[in-house]
Amino acid sequence: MKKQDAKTSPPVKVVGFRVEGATPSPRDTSLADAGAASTVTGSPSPVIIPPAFAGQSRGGEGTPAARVGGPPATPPSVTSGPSAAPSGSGELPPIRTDSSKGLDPDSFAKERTPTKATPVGASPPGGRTLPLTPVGTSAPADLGGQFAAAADDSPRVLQQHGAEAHAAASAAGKASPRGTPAKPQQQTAKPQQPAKQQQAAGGAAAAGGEKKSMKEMSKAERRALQEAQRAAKAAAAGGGGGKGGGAAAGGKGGNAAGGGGGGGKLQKQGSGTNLARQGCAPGRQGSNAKEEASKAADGQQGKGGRAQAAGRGSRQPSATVEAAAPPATRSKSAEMFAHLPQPRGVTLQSCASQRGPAVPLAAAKLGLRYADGSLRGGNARCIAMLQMFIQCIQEFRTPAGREFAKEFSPALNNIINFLVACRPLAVSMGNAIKSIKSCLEKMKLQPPPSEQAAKDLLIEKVQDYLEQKIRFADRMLVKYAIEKIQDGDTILTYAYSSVVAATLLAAHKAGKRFDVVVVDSRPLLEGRRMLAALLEGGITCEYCHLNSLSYQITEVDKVFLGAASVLSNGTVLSRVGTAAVALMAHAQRVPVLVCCESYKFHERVQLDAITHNELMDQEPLAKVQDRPDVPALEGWREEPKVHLLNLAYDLTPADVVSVVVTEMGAVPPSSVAVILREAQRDASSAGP
Amino acid sequence: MASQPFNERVEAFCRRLTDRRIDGSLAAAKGTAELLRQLITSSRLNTPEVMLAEVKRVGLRIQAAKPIELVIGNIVRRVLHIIREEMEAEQEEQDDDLLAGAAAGAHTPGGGDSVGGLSKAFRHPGATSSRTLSLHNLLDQGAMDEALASAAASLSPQSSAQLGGRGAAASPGPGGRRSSLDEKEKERRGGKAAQWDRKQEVIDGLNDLIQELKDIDEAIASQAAEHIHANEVILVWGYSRTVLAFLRRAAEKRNFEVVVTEGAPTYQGQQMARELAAAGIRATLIADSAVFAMMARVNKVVATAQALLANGGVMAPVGMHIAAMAAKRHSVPFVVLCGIYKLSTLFPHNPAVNFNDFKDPEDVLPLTHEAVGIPRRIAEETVARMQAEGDESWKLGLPSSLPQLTIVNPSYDYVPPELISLFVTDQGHGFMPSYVYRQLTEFYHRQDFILDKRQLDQLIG
Repeated sequence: MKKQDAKTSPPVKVVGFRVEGATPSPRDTSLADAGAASTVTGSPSPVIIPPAFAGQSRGGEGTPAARVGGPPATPPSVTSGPSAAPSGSGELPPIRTDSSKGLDPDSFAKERTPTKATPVGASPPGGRTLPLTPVGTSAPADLGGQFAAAADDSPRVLQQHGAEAHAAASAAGKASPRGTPAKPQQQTAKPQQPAKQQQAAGGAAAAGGEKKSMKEMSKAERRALQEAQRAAKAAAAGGGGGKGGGAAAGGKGGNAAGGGGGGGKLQKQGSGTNLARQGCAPGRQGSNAKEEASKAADGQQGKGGRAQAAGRGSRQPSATVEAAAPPATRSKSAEMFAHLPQPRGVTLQSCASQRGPAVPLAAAKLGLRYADGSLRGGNARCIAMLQMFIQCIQEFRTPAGREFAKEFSPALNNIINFLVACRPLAVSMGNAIKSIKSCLEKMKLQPPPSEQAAKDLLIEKVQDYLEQKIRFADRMLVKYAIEKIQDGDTILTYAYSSVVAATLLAAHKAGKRFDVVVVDSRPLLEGRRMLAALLEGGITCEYCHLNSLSYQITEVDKVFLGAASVLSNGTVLSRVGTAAVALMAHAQRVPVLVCCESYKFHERVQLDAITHNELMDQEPLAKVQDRPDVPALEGWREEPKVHLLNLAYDLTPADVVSVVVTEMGAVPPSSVAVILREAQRDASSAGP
Repeated sequence: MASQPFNERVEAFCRRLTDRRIDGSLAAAKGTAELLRQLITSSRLNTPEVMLAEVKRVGLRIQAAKPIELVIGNIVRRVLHIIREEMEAEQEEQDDDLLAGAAAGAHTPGGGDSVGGLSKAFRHPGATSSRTLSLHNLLDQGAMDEALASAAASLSPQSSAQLGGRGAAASPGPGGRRSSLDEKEKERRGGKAAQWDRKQEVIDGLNDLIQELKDIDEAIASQAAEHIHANEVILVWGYSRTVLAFLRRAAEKRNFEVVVTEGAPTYQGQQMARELAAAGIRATLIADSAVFAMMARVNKVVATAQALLANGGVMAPVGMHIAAMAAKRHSVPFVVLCGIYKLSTLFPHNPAVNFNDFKDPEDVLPLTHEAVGIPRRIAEETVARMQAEGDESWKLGLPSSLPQLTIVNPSYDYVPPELISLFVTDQGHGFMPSYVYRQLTEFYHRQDFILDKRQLDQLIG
């Protein structure tokens, strides 16, 4: 199974991950792999345990952390690995602080290719080990190198690629009119970058001095340090006092456990952080017992991080993330959401300091635009991604004597990994990637005569997708949606949706007279963009906050909403707040029309917005923009009892949606599953 | 007399209300109650009738300063109720005296033995007509008397004779009462400085009311432990003093978690989160838009209200309707903490407009935002184009097709009763929205349900 997988994909399948809550959509279709994939890539904890329960009522049985990471007692190298590694890879950027200094990517590549180690697999039965392979980054790093080498013939030194990414990123910052976060200090840091390239990998690393020094240590020294940390942790756990920062302890514990786990010295932080969950689990259970005894005392007696970690079981997973992440991006979401990828705050600097995979310039630019939020919306992101793919395909150079399809797919995965690291994929993007990958798979089976022919074929496929599935679909959708607007209507819309904006503007152009109520909400305030676009188009608008909805809804005739996706049970995945709008409209007997192209449909089913979601940066919640009279919530990161949660999406139940407008016409939400099935049948019949 | 400064004080309070310098309904309620206490303690009001009229007059004046602050009317009704109750108590006392006197004089059988509602009904049917309708005196009503009388007529001669005997014993009652009242009335009018001897009781009642307002949060919070279970996830909306006190009290006994929304457009959720954390409660701040998503993991919504309306609905901070609907959708209890002083006798008719307060639109969209300038720019461009084309019609009015922008910023939401699970008030125990009608008769006199509507309308203009 692993071998099979190895041929088709790199060891780390960040693609399979949780794309905005996705199932392993865009991954390769290996049936044998499917089962593993679902366990590996789906939500790590299918049962969401309210954190408060975790600490107390759960008692001795498996703690949430244990559930997340796998059974606590199992040797890391055997069973827990598969589940641990990919989720580790989901946390790529923080993890990559570990250096693979001194590693020649070429030799590594040679060694790797035959067995194709899945990260876990790092210790296959044969005892084959991968010296100093940063799990989670190794393959992409290698492949990235290949790509980069092909792209611009620079030496394949990992940190070099990091610098490239940085340069690319700053270029992007300058080039992009919307302005990627090109902050002053980053700009100044940039010139120093080349000088540091040949140094220890971490030159510009965001990580602190300790990590840097770790990189400069020899292997033996590192191991010694690990031992020391483990000892320290044990002491802390035993004493039960003072040792602050449960997060840090968790991370170190993870390293220690990894070290003890046989072959563990080869486990880099990638899996180490995951192992930390297991490593910590028994300790936490112990302290759980203690806590049962002194529930009331907990938390207020200054037990520090350990007590907190014990008190709130499911905090642990996020804590391990925190351990690996630079302080600035330390996550403080509610523990209820510990199963979701934490907001990472990818910036120019953090990109530049990653010495993992190098990605082409275009991908770096795009990834940063995803990360800083200057490019939003399912369609816009997907279109930009496909255009970027076309550019990358053109730039890609296949090594002599190799097949394009086989060489490009890992490079593609590498790019996708980078995008995911910047921001989890939208369902639209996942579906597009899936389609491109299936095309690549076919090309592997029937290789086109030449590299150029292969490239042309793939580019054509991508362009087809772009034109037909998105642009043409949008035009058709708008045509159908306009029919639903009548003279004298008052249309309500929420936030910004490109296709809703297009519909309203087109209807206005077509001579229909109607007003629009634009409903908006913090923190994104995307409705302002909608408002400006509609006013510019000459439509009379009313603007209000989501909270005023019940005041507005009585005057409204129809509600038009955009969607990130419609799932096969008819629920609509869309910008957070959409569900509230739809629910209110439904209660007032106002028809709710959801505009969604069929390429955004997804066969997954989901019941609430918590099992899968995307967490956004919390900082905007702490400070209310445009309202100097509202005091900001300062110092919340240091305040252990305050958490901020910034969800990106919510889920609108199917029964409050009157109709889903697609390019095939307006259908009830229950028909989405049918359309998906038809599309699948089409796809399979069009296949070989 | 102190009446001149008193009127000035009333006017000053009204100005502060009009200028929105009085923050929140509790402050308005306290201010109103204090003013009414001053009014009543002034020696001018010597008879209950004058007192009622004056309280009404001043109350309407204050209410007119801020018609949407329904608690003002509520406090006035409470004060009127206190006065009316004292009047009734006084009457009953007099009647009892008279009855005792009559019983002593006539020695009729059964005259002095009964004090129950039913027998009272036979004694002086007229006296009870003005009393508040409640479970305790339901049978005392006039309609019931007639029914009983007809029933008595059809009874056997023996029992009717008995009843007749009692009736005869009671018959001097009304007449005697009337003459006694006349005497008292004369006495009052004659003796200029003579006080209504129940005035002190009224003032005591008012003091109790003011104390009730002062202790309101504590009284509500004392029930916290009954409603919050260990390990629950509680959702609260923005900042509320009452909710904060409630949760703090619960945190003394229970370990739970709170999800706080920002509460646009005032955005006090940040402060709420900070204060909850300071009280040792885990607080998670979310955007208002995430309330539906979060509701799937919430065990209870604890909300406050601006006013509790007669149908069991509430006027609550804006956005609460969404929270209530999301809660209903997820079958999450929606608990409203609400001092009984917020109980209003008004029914919601177009409440989103009639009971609402609209705030500065700049709180929603800063006027510096590009979208704000677009309609004007387009209008100017259109005019310029028309001028260039020699079209003078713009002078008569701009074309109606030009885009316009309206920004609304209401303060309150109407939450209908079917979305509310429970009211927790300072009056000891919770009740359902369907029980509100009962509470109305408990705290207000039926005659005061509508304070002088015509006068109020005139004052508002």
